[in-house]
Amino acid sequence: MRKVTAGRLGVQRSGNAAPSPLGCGAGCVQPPARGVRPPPGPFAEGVSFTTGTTAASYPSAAFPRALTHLRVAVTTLFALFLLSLAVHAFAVEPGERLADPKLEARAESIGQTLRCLVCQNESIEESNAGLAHDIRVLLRQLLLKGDSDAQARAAIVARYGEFVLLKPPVQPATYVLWFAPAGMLLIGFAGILLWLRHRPSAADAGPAPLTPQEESRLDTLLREADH
Amino acid sequence: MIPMRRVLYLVPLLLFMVLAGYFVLALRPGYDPHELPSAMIDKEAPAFDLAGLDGKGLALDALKGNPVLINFFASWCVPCREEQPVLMRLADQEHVPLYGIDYKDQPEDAQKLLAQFGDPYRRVGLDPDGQVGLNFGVYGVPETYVLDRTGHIRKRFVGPLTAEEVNKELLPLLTALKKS
Repeated sequence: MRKVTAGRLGVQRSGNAAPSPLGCGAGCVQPPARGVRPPPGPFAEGVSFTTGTTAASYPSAAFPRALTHLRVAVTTLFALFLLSLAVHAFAVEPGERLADPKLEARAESIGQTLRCLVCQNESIEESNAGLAHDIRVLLRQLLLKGDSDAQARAAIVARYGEFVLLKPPVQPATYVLWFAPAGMLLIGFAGILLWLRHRPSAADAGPAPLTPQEESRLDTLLREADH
Repeated sequence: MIPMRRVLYLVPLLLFMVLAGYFVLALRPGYDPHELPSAMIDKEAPAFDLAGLDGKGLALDALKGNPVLINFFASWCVPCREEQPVLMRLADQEHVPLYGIDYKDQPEDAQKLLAQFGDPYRRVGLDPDGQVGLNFGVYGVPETYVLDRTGHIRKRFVGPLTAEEVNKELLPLLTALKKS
């Protein structure tokens, strides 16, 4: 678990710089206008984890080669898993958290469905962009005020549009988006079925039976070959 | 009658043409996929009453009565400097009522910026914690909003205003809004 914590600290670099939950105080480094991305997770740790358990600890003579390969694969996967945990760690800063754990849990679950408009493919809970911070604080203020989950979400959609929702709502404008994949799959299956039905079967595909003339000619040829 | 099989051979070509069509659309000059339509178009601008840079405040209610431009900027924002000559031209030559909101900034820094690059604004309001920006749906600076005389948002320009945007979109819109 220590690795994951290290990743979190890495992500919230700016945590110490913003003393008040509302925006930037004195001496705070202002966010660049666009495209802030969190630093990658603790890559170096993940790598050392892999090599440490495989090559160094177990001499290859003691283990069959296949087993060693399996170990490498499993540890690599596990390291990648840890890495992914670190990358997806929340960027929520300590000062932003609500005192009430239930309310904070609600805020986090809503926040995970809201897009950070600066990074565009991260939720506001994951992003350390200044705007994500602002929306996190706004969301928590709305919940403190007594808004329901739906009300709080609607208040943010009113400002930023439906693009702010990571999961687009199912409505006429998004039917193509939601149902096209299943529709394409159905069309594909229908196509395969049609093709299988109309494909000439193996019995039909053979050569046509010989006519009497051909039979007699074949007989002659075979008799000639015997001589 | 063309045989069915022949028609089927054309399907990949058609699919490719549809795909190529999307590519052409997405690669057309001037298109920025990060530019989002504002959710606030034709809605009433969120009210604000900000402390001003020169002691005079900036409040939404005081701006009503004429179409105005509100430009969100900051001294730490590089594209804002790029935009400054266009804004200066708007203010000096077109006499467009342009108001600034200094987004998440220190007043001294904003003053330095305006002293260095010129001050196109009739007034500048201070939004140190970005709260007004948040209410407007600002997701990066600079952003420029066009408000009609009733205080409704009619258009948003994301990123630095270009001379082309001013000539083709902004000035015609303002003329239309003045007449209405």
